[in-house]
Amino acid sequence: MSYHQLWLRYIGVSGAAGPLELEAYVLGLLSPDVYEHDLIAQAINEWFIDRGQNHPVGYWHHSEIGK
Amino acid sequence: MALATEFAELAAQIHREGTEAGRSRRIGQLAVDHVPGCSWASISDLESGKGRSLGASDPIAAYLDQLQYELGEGPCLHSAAAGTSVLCADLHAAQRWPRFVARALQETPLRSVLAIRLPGREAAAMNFYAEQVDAFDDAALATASILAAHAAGLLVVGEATEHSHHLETALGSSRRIGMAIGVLMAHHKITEDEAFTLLRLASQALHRKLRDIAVEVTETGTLPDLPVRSPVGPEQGAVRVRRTVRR
Repeated sequence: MSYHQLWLRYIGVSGAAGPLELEAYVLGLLSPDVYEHDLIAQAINEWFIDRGQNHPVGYWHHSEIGK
Repeated sequence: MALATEFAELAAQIHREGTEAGRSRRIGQLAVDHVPGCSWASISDLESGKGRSLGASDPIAAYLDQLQYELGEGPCLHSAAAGTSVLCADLHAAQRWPRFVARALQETPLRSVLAIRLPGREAAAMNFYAEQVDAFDDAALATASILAAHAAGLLVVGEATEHSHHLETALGSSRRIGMAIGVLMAHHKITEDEAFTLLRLASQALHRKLRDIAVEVTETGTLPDLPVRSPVGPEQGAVRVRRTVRR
């Protein structure tokens, strides 16, 4: 998946950062906050869903909400 | 003059709404009609790593393209890779691409070929195939070069259209997820981050995309029912979303 394809998926899961910012997160030049981290994980996981895999990329929030 | 009119029409067509396939076919047909000696024509886009043919004027052109992609050799691949135009005036005398030449001579009436790299593109070429030996003279080369420049423009327009379509789809999905987050925030009195996490947990537990979950939330006002135990693994299996969360 190219950075551009990842960015489109990231926008599609309601991300709002620009393509360069996203690339900087992926390269480790910028540290995403928890929310951004999970958006990026979701974007990558949706790519995997299209390939028959179920969410192999880990999220920051592992536990249940509200506990 | 007829050619000038055709080019004017083509330029208008490029900017008009239409399919990439339609525009490419037109350019392939223009090549056959106006490049002296040209029997069939096509555009090869090799930039994705594997060959893709556009605008084949005829099934033979598409077949000759395909043959080159499969064999990994031929004038079109040579032109795209070397960044230059390739003219093979007599296929029988060609030393390069022995497998392609053998198959083409055996299976098709191809006798000469001209491949022009599309200007400004990394790996794409326009192919002009001919049934005659020495089919392409200087006038043909000049006309073919103009058509190749138009073909390069077609690829750029096609990509821009595709890009804009993808972005539109992504923004539509983003808007729907934003709506669903708002619904969940109001319903459960939770923060935006928590609402997103609820959607995401549902996506994970149901093995569905976030957008699909969001559509359901905006249509029904609530999250879809989640399995108590998901069969996919220990981490996902432990995921359960409580509908009533902290206030």
